[in-house]
Parts: sequence; structure tokens; C-alpha cells
Amino acid sequence: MAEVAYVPPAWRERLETRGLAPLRSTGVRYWAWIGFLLVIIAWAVFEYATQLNNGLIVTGMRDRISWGIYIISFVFFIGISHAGTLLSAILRVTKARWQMSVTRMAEFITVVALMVGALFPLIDMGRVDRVLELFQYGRWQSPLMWDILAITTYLTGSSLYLYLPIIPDFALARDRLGPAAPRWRRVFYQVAALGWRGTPEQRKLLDRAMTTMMIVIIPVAVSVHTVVSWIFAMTLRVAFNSSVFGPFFVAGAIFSGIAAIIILMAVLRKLLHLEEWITRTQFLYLGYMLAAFTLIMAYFNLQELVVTGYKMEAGQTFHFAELMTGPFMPLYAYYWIGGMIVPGLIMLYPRTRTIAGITFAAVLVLVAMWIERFLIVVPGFRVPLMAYGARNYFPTLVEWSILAGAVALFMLIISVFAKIFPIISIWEVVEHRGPEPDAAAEPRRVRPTIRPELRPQLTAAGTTTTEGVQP
Amino acid sequence: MKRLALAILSALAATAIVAAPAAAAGPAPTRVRIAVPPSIKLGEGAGVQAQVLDASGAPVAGALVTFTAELGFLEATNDVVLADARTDKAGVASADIDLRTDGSIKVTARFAGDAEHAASSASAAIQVGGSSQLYAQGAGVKLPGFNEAPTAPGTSAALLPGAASLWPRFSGWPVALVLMIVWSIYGSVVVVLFRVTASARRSAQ
Amino acid sequence: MRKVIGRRALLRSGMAAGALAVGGSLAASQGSKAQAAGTSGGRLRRWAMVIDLRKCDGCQSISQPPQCTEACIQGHFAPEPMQWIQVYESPLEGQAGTQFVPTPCQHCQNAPCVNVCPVGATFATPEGTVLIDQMRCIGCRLCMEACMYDRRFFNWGTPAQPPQTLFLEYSPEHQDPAIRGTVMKCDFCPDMARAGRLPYCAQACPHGAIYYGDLEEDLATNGSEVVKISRFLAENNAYRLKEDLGTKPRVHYIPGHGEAVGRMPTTTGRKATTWPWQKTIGGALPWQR
Repeated sequence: MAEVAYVPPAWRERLETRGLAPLRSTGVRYWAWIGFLLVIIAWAVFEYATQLNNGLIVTGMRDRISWGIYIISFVFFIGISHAGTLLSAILRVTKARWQMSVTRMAEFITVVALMVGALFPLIDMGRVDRVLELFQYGRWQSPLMWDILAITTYLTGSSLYLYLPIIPDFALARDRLGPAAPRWRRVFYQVAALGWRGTPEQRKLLDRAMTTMMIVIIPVAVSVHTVVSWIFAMTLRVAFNSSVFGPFFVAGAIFSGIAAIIILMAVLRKLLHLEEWITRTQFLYLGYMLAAFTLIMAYFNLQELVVTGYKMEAGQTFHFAELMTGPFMPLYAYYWIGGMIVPGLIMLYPRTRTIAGITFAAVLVLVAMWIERFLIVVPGFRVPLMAYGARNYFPTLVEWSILAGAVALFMLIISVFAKIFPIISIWEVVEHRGPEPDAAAEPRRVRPTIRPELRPQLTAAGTTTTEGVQP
Repeated sequence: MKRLALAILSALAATAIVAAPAAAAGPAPTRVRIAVPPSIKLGEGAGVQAQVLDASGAPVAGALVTFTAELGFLEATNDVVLADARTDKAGVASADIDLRTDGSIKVTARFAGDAEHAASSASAAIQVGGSSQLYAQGAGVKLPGFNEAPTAPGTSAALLPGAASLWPRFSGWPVALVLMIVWSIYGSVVVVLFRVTASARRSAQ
Repeated sequence: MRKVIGRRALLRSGMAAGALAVGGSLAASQGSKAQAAGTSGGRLRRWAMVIDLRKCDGCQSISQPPQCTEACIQGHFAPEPMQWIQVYESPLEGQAGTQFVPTPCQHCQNAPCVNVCPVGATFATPEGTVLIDQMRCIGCRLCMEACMYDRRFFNWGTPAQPPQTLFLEYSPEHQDPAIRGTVMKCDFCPDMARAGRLPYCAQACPHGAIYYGDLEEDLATNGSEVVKISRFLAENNAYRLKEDLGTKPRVHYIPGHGEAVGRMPTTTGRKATTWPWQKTIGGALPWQR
């Protein structure tokens, strides 16, 4: 734990009040929102029931394109679950401090996206009644089994990792909510806070646990998305038979994860009035990361295009033609322009580098990343294996409804979590960040202020020396 | 050059002499003698020889002899061609045949005949014994714990001799090892959490 | 056309193998060697197929849909869009015209589908066939993604089958009755072979283009002619589909375009496959592949 800097009591009071406000009171608008989500979910459940009733014939999938929106969305949701890992773990390991006020949201996204994403393989299964056979007869050699093992491990780890930094905030809620709070809340916070008093011993222990988790969660997260890519890359189909799939999917996952966290940040900032703690700094830094990943994604895509396109293995010609001039051209064009070029440009120009601009870029990226998964799965399956004409895949209403239901479920769980867990890691913001001024909010061309003792001193001889200057 | 031309000429003359009477009276009768090992083991090649002789007992050189075996499979039985060879100057054709069916196999050497010689054949039986499995096909590189193909599972065990469940062999150890490491780290973190609670209880006392 | 011995006749007369395979499945997990087909010397069969494309004209000469597919459908009661052996018409390499390629499951010895199955529902038998246990299949369709020959079929809806399938006892070797939400494919008819019969497709081929055989005895037959497989393949430049993928199929092809039965490569087209019972079961709704 870093030394606690001087914290103005009024600032701290404001933070704690704001941070705990959603836990204290709930407005009508919240319940309307929950009701809206529940209606969508109910509709999706109804559509799923039709699917159970009639079989997967109600979907647009058939033998030759045997995976569709379900697997696409599975990959997509597992992808955005990487937000939490990146923001919390990687940035915590590197001791970046600006992200402290949004780590909690990122960890939410991780846990919730994993929970929602893990549903899709079940929805996609032809015989979901036999799901327990995976435990009875499961084979270690199957990529699907690796997925199950990796996602279980990641979900457990990220839940633990969500819980660890929440303990002091639970204690805060326990101490501050008072007797006005409902009984279940008081009992819940009492139990969940694990008797946290903030003693030095407890701090040391928590610090140790968090360090362990933040280190172990990074390889686990990388492995998860690598393994997700392997359900494609472990086959011989020309579009999937590539060794770059693992890193490509990991990069794509982090890319979409950053976009997801930017959007959630923008939404919760407005709704929960967190403008003081989630400032342009967070948007700007995450936006820079987004921009960096547009380049990484462009690089991966280009290298895939060049390496396979140069050789033009049988089937690859068909695949490329489909993407670039065929039926997938609009989507493919959007993926490049909306997913990589425009977000990159938005981050390039100071004029568009605003909160609204960055959020807009994030929305573009998130949509593009769903489309990217679509462009991996559907055109990949479309390449004919034998002498037959390529088949089309049009998702049906059932599939779109279930996707909508999954998105609604994602938002629902986030909304419920926001009412139970403090959405800002209050104690970490207090300890690590303190009431520092919002650097990025200042006018842009500010000359860096240099402390007087570090200024180059003019010597008597009239030469400049930099002796003693610390960079 | 001279000597070579002479040799060719005399060879032609010899053929003409042999062929002349045959051409007049149609194909001359021939007979085939076959020599086979009486018994072999499965998987061993059998050297078989057949000698083609004309009516006078003189060897016929350059005759194409086909070795067949009478073999049945499912709905059909017929003479299966195993090998063919041409006779040498002594009228002997030799071949190595590969029999993969056990039991008493009737091997036939058949000379189909030509313009001068009538067709003839001879048969002999080879006792093929043994029960060793001859055909085996491995699939690529075997990585322990990764690409071992499953054989018949428990529910349809009837198809597999001594069908074992997948568990006793436990081929997934590399994956299991990694998982165990990660999950034991999780376990250690949970232990630390218990110590946080314990510490609170101590300080409360 | 030869008379095709159907499943019902087989089940009634032969019985031996089928009953053992089905009845023994629960009781015997150990020492059930007797059920695997063996030679007279007790060696295991290693089933294989050789398809002589020189003799395959896609049944143009008899103006019928490909008889192998028809017989397979009728013998296995395959639901509507499934052609477990499908006669693809593919362009000839390096010359004008097409060839007909009857394509059953290739029964790969390094089968991608077997490798990826999460529950071992697709498995390799010691005889070299790749079978599916539809009682175990969870319908994840990973195997359909992995199969490079497009030879796996999913029951997307309620499969259209004639009512008598309901009275058949299930076995992975004949896959009836079909179960919704599971994957099916050509099973290489080992139950037929054990009873001394050729697979339906080989029985039905009017030109005897399909040879079914045993690599252990190195013999194959199309019903009238027995050949030594190794010699037959070597003499005729046999190949296997997508050999370079390393899947090691058990189905071999002898290149050709029906020239042995008088087909010109430029005579294209074949009759569409039919399913005699497509409308006989209520509730079943055939789909397109």
C-alpha cells in the first residue's frame, strides 16, 4: 500500500457519499430500466423455448455453416471480458494510478461478460439436456473442453479478483450506511467485509492477496482467449488454419474490452454523477490505448492478409474474394474503416479527442469487433470443402432475439451489481490518487512546470550546466 | 557391330524354326509346373516358381505367367491376381507373393498362351498359418495427453475389445498440471482472506 | 441393377452380429473381442473402400439418381437432406468436363472429428471406422467444423424417417432411430460386413465401382470381383481426397470420369437424390443442407 497522501476531508466525504449513493437509494427510472431489460430477456427466453421445442432448425445455421451468431457472440463476450484484466491487473502491476476510479467497472465487465458469454455455447448446443456429459465423459483433447476449463478458471479468478479490492469498500458501506439501510444490506455488508478494520496486518494480507491475483490473472486471461481462438484454429479449414489466431484473438479481445469499458464509463459517469472522479484523463488514456490497439489490430490483419494472400492456397482465393469484393464487402469495409481507421483518426486529432469523441470511437470499435467475429466465422465456414455451391447464412429472429436477450442480461447484471457493490473503488482512489487536479482537463498547450531547483542554472561563466538535474 | 547383328539374326532364325511347326498346327499344347513352399506364416512372403514347358518338355522362355490365389471376400470369390512374371531361358518364372489370408490357399500359376502356345495352368496349396495382425496405421505424432484419439466409449463398448473408460489412462495430465497450479494459487488467496477475518477477530478481542 | 439386401432382411436373417453389438453393449465392456469382425484366424478387420471413378458415371447411363446414395438412404433410413454417400460432380483437373466422385465418410485414421469431440461421442473403432454414438453426442458441432470433407450431418429439426425406425434398437453402427440435435454420418456398414454383406452403396452400384475391403487381408470386392487392394491401388494410381492434410482416409479413389462405362467427361449433370419417406412422419420438417 502506498503512503496515504493528505486527503482533504471534504473531498473524501464527497467521494464516499457519491460512491455509496447508488447503494442508498433507488429511483423509479432504475426500476423502469430493469423492467425494460427484463422484458427483452423474457422475449429471448421465449424464443429460446421455441428453439428447444423445434430444435436448431429455427436458426439460420445448417450443415455447411454450422456455427452462427451464438458462437460469434460467445467469442465477442469472452473478448470484452478482457477489459477488467487489462485495466485492473496490467495497469495495477505497472503501478499506473489514473485508472483507480474505473478498475471496479472494468472488473464488473469481466465477470459479467464471462457469465453471459459462457451461456452461448449452451444455447448453441443441440442437446443441452446432455450438458453434464461434459463432466462425465469430458475429454482433455477437445478444444471445447479447454474452453470450459479456461473459462471456469478465469471466471473464478476474476470473481476473486473483483472481490479482493471490494472488501474495504464493503467495510465502508457497513460502517456508513447506517440503520436506515434495509436489513439484508446490513447483513450482507457485515459478512462480505470479512471484519475489515483496516489494521496494518489486514492491509498487508490484502495487499499480498491482490498482488498474487493481479499477476496470476494476466496469463489466465491470455490463455482464455487463446483457447477460444483454438476452437477455430485447431481445424484444417483454410480460413482458420492459422497459427496467428491465438495472439490475434487476444489482441482483439483487449481491443473490444477497452471499448466496452470506455462506453460503460461514459454511461455510469453521467447516470451516477461521477464527473469529479471519472474525468477526461481516464477517457484520454484509455483512448490512447484504443488507438494503439487499432494499429495492433491493423497489423495483425495485414500480416494475415499478406502471408496467406501471397500463397493463395486453394480456397483462400474464394475466401478473400468473398471478403473484399463479395457479399461480405460492406461488413469488411466497415471493419477496417469503422473499427480501425476512424477510431484512430479520432484519437489523432485533438479537436475530436473529447469524452464524446472517444466514446463514439469506442462504440464504433465495439460494433466492429462483433462484426470482425462474424467475418471470421461465417466466411470461414462458407469456403466450400467439396464441389458444392457456397451456402448462405441469414440469422433468424430467434438468433437475433437471443443475442438481444444476452446483451440485456449483460446490462441487467451490471445494473444490479451497481446497486450492491460500490461502483468506484473508493479506498483505492483515496489512497492512490488523492485529490490531484485533472491534468488532461487543463488547456492543451501548457508549458510543463519545472520545479525551480531542477531548472538549469546559469553559471558565472555563462554556460549552462545540467548538473544535478533529475529527469 | 558385326557380332551383335549376327546374334540378332541367329535369334530370329531360332524363333522362326520353333515357330514354324506351331504356326502350321495351331498353338502347341504346353504345361506348367508350379513349386510353392508347403506352409508359410502370415506376413512372410512366399517365393513361388512356375516352369512353362512345351509338349516336348522344352522350356518356353519369355512367357508371361500370372500367379493367382483363389480367395473369397464377403459376397464374392474369385482368383485374385497376386503377381506376374516372365519365364527365363529355363522356362522358369519366379515371384514373391504376399498372402494375407490364413488357411489353405490354392495358388495357381497360369500361362495365358500366345500365338504358338496354348494356355495352361497348374495349382498348388500353401498352408498359411499364424494369427498376427499385419496391418497397423499410426496417425501422426502422438503427443501424450494431447492428440490421443479416443476409442469406443463405454456405452458402445461392444465395439472395442476391453474397452477402457477414458479416465484410468488419464491422458490429460499436462492440462491438469497447469490447472492445478492456477487453482492452488487461487486457494492460497482464499487462505489469505481467511487470515484477514482471523486478524479482525483477534483485534476485536 | 442388383438386388440390395436391406436392413430389415438382414436383421431378420443374420441377426448374429447386430444382436451381439446391441445387446452386448451394456453387459460386456471387457473381453468382448467376439463382436469385432475378424478373419477366420481371429484377426481384426481393417475396413477400407476403393472407389473406381473410371466406372462411375453418376448413374447417367441408367437415367436414375446415383444408386449408391439411394440405397444408402433406404438402407439407413437417412433423414431428408442427408446423403451419407454423396456423388459430387467436380470439374476435372487440366481438362474440360467433370467427374463424379461418390463421397462417403472418409473414415480418416487421423480423424479431425475424433480429435475435437469433447465427450468422445465420435470415436475410432479398432476396425478403423469412425462412428458416432448419438446417445452421447451433445450437438456442439465442433466435429462438423473440423471435418474437411463435408461428411457430417446434423439433425437440425425432427428428422424425417419412416415409422419403422422407431422399432429398431439403437446402435452406433446403424444410427437408427435418428435423434434430433445430434450428428450423423456414413458408418461404413460394419454390421453388414460382419453378416457377410457389402455396404448398401457397394451393393447398389450398377457398374461395380465401389469396392469394399479389408486392409488386413488386403482384399476388396465390389460384389463380383475380388482384388488385392495393395496391387489394385498401385497399378491404377489411386489417390485419396485431400491427402496432403494428413487425415489418412480409408477411402481410396482410382482416377477417372466414367470412361470404363462409356461416359464422356463433357456429359454433365445427374438426377437429384430422392427420399422416399420425406412426407411420411408428421412433425418432421426437412431442411436444406
